[in-house]
Amino acid sequence: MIWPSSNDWGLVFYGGPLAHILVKKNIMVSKKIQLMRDYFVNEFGVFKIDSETQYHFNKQAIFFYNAHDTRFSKKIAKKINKLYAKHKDLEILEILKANFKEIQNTESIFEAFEKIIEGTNHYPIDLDTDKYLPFFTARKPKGTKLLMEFANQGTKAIETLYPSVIPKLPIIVVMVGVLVFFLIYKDIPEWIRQAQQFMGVG
Amino acid sequence: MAKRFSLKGQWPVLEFNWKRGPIILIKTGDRHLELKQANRIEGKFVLTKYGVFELDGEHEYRLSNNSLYIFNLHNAKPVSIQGIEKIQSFYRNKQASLIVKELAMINAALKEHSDPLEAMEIVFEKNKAQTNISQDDIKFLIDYRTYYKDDVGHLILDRMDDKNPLKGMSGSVTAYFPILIFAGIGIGITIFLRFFNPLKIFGIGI
Repeated sequence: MIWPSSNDWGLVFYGGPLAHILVKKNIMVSKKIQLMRDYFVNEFGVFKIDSETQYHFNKQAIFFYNAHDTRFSKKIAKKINKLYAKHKDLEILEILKANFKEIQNTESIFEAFEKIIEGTNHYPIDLDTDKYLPFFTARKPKGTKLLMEFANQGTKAIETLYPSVIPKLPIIVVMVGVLVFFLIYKDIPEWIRQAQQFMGVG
Repeated sequence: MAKRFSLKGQWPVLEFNWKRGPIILIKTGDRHLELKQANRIEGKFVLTKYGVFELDGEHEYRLSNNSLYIFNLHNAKPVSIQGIEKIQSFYRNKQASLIVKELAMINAALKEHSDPLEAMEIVFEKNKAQTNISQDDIKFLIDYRTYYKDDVGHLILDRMDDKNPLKGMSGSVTAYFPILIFAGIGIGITIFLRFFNPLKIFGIGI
């Protein structure tokens, strides 16, 4: 078991929009999104969001990005987010102009964000392969044969199954039950005595 | 935007760290995602209620100390983030015709040659002149052009609906540690107050 990173602990109770950013070849990092209209800034750069690529895990919004090995100062990213909350756009523009050469002629922060994103290609990634590669009808015979074999095995296995008679108790209910028992088990003999007195048995 | 604080239903970060892997992320409905803990069949395949998926290490990602495979419901192969991003960039830059041409070339090669090696040789040979599409991109296109499992999925779906096939299935991953931590804090305070009366600080009570 590996202890979660501080970034992971920060996401334990987080239900807001989340970005999964590919930071190296196959290393992904989850990051909170603090929106600035259609953009957000973190230590991996400036990113754009798009409602078309907004996925949902239950009710949480999820986005996918490739950082293309770009890095940005964590302190500056935090400062930009704080300044945006205070509506200090001009100060943000100054910071951005000091860090990016290509945005010297821009007049608004959103124009600057758009230009930076054009350069870094930080657009959201759509997982919907059907949308972009619409006609996958051919099959590799060997691969299909293998998959069919497994599917047949699965079908046979399912035939032998039957619905569970005793419903499974969720682990949380069991744990809460055990904890409540430990809290009150000392009082139980007293309660029984009082009940017996009430009924006139004891 | 959505609420920030959440006890249930959010992305399961701790489960990602502490569950054995790999974990698969399936795009099921329209822009809807589901997480499953993969039970490997012969080390390579995963059976879910949506059908059979293939675990291809080439498209494995590491997230929160665990392996993650991303699938679209209609493809048995995992999605390559870089590959699909490149294809989207062609669409964005009005170069979608390049993709169509390459797919047409792959089609023609598959029809003309039954031997996959010969077909691949032709595809890669013709691609040498292309500067915009790399050989990695072509490989991604070939993968997606030649692997498809639509009928396989539907074959087992109907029967699974009738019964309760719990055994051997890849179960879903939901966040339950946040509630446990929250409950633990509450119960800890309750136990602490049972043995220590805070009113004693102010000299109230016995």
